[in-house]
Amino acid sequence: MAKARSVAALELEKRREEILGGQDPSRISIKVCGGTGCLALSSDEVAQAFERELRAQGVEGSVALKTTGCPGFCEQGPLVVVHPQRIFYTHVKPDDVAEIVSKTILQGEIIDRLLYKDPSSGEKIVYETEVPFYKEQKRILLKESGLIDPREIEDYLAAGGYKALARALFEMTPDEVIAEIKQSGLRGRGGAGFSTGVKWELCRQAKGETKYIICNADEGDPGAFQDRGLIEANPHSVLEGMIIGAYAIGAQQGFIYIRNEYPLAVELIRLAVQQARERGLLGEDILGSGASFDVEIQLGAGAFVCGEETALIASLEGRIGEPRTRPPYPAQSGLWGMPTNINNVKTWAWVPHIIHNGAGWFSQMGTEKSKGTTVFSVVGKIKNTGLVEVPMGISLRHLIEDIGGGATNGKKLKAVQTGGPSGGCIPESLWHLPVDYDSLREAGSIMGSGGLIVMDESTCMVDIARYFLNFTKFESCGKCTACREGVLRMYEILDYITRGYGQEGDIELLEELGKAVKASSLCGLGQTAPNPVPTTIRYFREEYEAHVKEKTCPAGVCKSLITFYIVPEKCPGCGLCARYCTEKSISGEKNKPYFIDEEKCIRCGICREVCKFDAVLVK
Amino acid sequence: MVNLTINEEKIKVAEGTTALEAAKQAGVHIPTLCHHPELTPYGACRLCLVEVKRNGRSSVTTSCNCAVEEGMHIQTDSPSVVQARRIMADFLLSRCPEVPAVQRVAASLGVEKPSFPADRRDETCILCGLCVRACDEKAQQHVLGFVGRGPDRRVTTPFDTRAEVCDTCNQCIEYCPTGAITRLEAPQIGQRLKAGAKRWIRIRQVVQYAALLLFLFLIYSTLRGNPLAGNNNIFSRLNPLQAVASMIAARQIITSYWPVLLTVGVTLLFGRVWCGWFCPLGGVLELFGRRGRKIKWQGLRRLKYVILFTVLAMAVFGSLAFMYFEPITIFVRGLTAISKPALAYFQLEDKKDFALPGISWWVIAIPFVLVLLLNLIERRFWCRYLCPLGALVGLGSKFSWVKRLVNQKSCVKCGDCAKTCTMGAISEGRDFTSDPAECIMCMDCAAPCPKMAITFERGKALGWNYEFDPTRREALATLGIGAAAIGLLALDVGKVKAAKSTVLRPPGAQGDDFLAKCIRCDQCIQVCPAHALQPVGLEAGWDALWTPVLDPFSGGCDYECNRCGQTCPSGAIPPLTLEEKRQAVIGIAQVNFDTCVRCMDCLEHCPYKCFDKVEVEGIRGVFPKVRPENCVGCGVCVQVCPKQEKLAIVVYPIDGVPPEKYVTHPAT
Ligand SMILES: Cc1cc2nc3c(=O)[nH]c(=O)nc-3n(C[C@H](O)[C@H](O)[C@H](O)COP(=O)(O)O)c2cc1C
Repeated sequence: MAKARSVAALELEKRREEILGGQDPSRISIKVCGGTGCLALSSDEVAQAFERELRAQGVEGSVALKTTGCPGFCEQGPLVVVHPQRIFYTHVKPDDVAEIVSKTILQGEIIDRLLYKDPSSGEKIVYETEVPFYKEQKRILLKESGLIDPREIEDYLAAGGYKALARALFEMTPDEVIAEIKQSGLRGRGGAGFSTGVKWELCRQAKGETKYIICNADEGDPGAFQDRGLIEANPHSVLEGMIIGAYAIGAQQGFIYIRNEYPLAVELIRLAVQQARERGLLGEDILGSGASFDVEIQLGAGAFVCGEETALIASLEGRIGEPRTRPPYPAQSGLWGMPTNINNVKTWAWVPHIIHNGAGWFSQMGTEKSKGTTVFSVVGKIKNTGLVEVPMGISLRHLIEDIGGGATNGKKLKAVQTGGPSGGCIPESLWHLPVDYDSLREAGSIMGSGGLIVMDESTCMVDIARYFLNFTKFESCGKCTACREGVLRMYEILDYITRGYGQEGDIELLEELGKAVKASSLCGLGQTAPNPVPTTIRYFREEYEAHVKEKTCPAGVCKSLITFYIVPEKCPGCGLCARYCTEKSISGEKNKPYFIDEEKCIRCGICREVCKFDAVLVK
Repeated sequence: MVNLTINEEKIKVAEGTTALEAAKQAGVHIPTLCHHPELTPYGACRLCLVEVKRNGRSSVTTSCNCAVEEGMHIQTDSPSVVQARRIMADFLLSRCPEVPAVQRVAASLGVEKPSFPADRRDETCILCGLCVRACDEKAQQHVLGFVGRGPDRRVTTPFDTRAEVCDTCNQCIEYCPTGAITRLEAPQIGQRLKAGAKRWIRIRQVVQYAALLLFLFLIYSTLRGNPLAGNNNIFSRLNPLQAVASMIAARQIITSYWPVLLTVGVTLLFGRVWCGWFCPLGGVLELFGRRGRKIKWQGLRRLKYVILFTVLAMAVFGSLAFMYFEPITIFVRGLTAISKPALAYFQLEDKKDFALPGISWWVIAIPFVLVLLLNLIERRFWCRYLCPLGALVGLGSKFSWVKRLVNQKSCVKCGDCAKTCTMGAISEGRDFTSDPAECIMCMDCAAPCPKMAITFERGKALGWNYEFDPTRREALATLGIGAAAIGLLALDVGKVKAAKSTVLRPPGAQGDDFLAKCIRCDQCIQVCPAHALQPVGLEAGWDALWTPVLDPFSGGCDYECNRCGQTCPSGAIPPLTLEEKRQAVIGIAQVNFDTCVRCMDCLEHCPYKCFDKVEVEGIRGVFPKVRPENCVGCGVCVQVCPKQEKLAIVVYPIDGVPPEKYVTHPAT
């Protein structure tokens, strides 16, 4: 059903034409990454330096300068890309700027020093498109990250933004929108992977005039920053998805629940909402279609559990952020008792793409049951850490070794934790598994919201389980016995084990408690919190047994179970370790092997870190 | 209606019913701790987990907030559910190992001991949120809430500041399943109620110790020979057991006992307050000994009824033989035994003259000492198991207007009340209620109750069917003992009748009437300035033990004194005026001319001037001789006689005067 486009819609299209018409594809433009990662490395100063330098060298008119969102390769920041060739400079400091302008911009010269060196091959790479980290990705959600300025709605329009919205409003009925989403097979990117189309439909069909939609941007998993990255790079895509969703579901009011710890994302999404309102994309009678919808930003206070939908709703209502039992699901009775649809940032951001390109386009990507691409934040003991977008179904190994670049400093990789603190550890031997909701679940882990933490042989799996449980222990809201007490008790047992007080039967007890907590907990937090334990036991039982029975830590991590010693044959007696040792536990004569006094040693490991001869070992 | 299956049983329940309610209707018990039928389900404790199958999918969920659906299948006892519940109970018990409510639920699920170490052993809050919901939904005050996440979660008021409404509202208290509610640090719920309860305890203590001090003062005053115009015996005259027994035995209304009406009235209004608020012996017994129930044979409490009934049964036959079980007299005798000789010692000018009284004096303190010793076993042992007066007021208390009440809706069976009870009256097996005949209304239990569930209010007026009601067995025992005792008396075993006439009684006391009224309080002995009155041992028959006799060897009846009659609460020694007392005949003195040394001290000292000088046939010299018609037997002559121990002069009971051995002539 196509309606005639309204004046406003036509005007928007005209404006887009104008912008595109005014653009010169061959014009040089400098894109400085302004994402949080690079910002932390002072990319704002780099951008200012460019501004000064361009003016000083008199080319500010002919060269465009843009501060963009995060393109994902945070490891190498601050990043500067010179378009149209896409010359890729890494680790750029303000001092480098003058040289870039004078050499690269004005003379087209490449500055070798700032190029990215592929750690695997050792080759220098000139163009962004050649970087393996990017080459292997399939970037759709992140496509504009690094290209457009998140502060400029016109950049988004030029990239085809809000086209999908116009299409939905004027060419489709709400039911058709839902049918399209359903048909695409889009599953929620917030973790559970529930079919988005079905969820919308339930909410649309729910009785009630007033309905709400919510964008869940609470992202509390430690180490995950995909939602943040997306909002910081392309906030309008999320907003557009929400407006289409509101139209499909019949909601007049939306909320973006975003954590206060994301100041830049908060600022940018606020700006985007304001710009959208100014352009008539939010508010009454959107684009003259008769549909009305507005968005309110709500700041979260950083509780992990507030990412859980019922807890988030409670928090939004001004109550303490603790979950309640479902059913009733939010689609039946959500915010203030009204039918409510809640989706993850990425889920919303997918919507315009699907509406624009069609369900068929989307469902080509991915696997049988998990369609599309997914965004991971890959961190840990690998060379390339950052945000990556890959099609569903690629193998973990491909993701970790090819895109992630494999292990740092020659260590052997051992396992990967997916799904954040409540996910599980998947051992290297299973890395042939495809990345999708179902196979990860089978392996005992979850997709979660897409955090990947890669661990190498210097990681103790018992310690890792303890670490994650410590997180969930504190982040449990404490409402239900299973999660509050269960996770606490499991943590205590793990803590005992890592301190050398493990007892016969502890491993079995952990397994039993894990099962009970999983089965008995009220919400997803408790139901998944034990995950790190059964998976590490399942795949690394021998490490547990070494802790419990032999009181040793094979990875050399658990301080109570290890001793540091110096191999005399390797120690040339440089004395460096002794200088670093805060406890004065290392002594010896110059040029003769040193030794460590076990009594005084606090096992901080600094000696091993500083030793240039690998003479300090752990047993 | 919705059709569903619970553990293979098909049932039909109303729409909107929860799985928990449906199970209840099907007679299936599901344990809960955070559920209350009046409050919105919360699903926090996770004990009510069940396995639910709907649309072919099975899941474990809490039954309290799971609405039934058509065709639903609920399994409440599947192995996974049972196991999960057990572990949840273990978690809760490990958190609160000392909380009986949690212990009970855990035990019912097979968890006897916590598997994990408790963080704080005194933790009582299980974070069930019932108080928070009660505050929101019932009181609508929205004062209570949770703060903190995970292990730090706790219930409190905003910013940990006490809310004023918490002084008056108190609705949450009733819902707390563990009693943690009144222990919350910041909100201090129930503070007012607690202060109120403590105030009552303090008031009671003041009354109780004032009563004890008054009692001691009266004793002191009596010892100093001041009967306070006959009011020194007020504790006896308030004493219903004395009143009833002596009136029955004497078959007459003894009007001096009118203050008893006060005690009766107070008892019918407020229960056994006599024991808890006024009894001086109780005040002493309250000071030491173990609270709560320590010995196993609690049924022994009925023994006091046997003692009471036996005393009364004897009274019916005109005897007060077992009256020495009466607590006030036990206390008086105990004090008399020590203080009277002590006083005598202090009053002596030459301390060398002091003679310690004999065994027969000291034995009167035995009951008091025993009562004190028994108190070491359990506090107020006497009051619990033996006291006939307690039994009597206890019977009255069964019908009292005000009683100790336990709000069963609120009570969490923590047992804190039972632990503080000085009487051990609170019964764990009976939901911590108490037999009003055992409860002495001391109110000690109200303040420690974490649920403020104990009140002293108008209760069921007419009451029987309490824990320690006297039964047929006690009646039979009474019959047995009573019959035996009366049989012994009737058959005159031990020649008790004859023995009666061998002793001298206080002035005015008349034979059988005296014994039917004398309640063995021995206050006459206390007040007697000349130490003439003494407690009798078995000489006057076993049924007259510790009644007063006049013993001229230890003192003569003071011519100027009538205090014994004034002091006697029951009129056993009639309250004679001094003039009347001087005329009252106690016995008749007779001089033994064989041992008399003719010193004439008796003649000189006799206040009645009833001696003549005579010559005795066959013996040389002039002797004193009593003129029997003038002698009242006051015994002053005996006391002054230097040949006392040679029986140179003896006072005989009126019917027991031996004939003169010698013929005498008035001396010239
Ligand atoms: C403990 C916990 C934390 C969660 N955190 C998030 C989160 O940070 N972001 C998110 O989108 N979903 C999170 N979820 C999932 C949400 O409950 C919900 O499933 C999701 O927002 C639905 O959106 P989707 O259908 O787009 O996935 C969390 C769930 C749990 C149990």
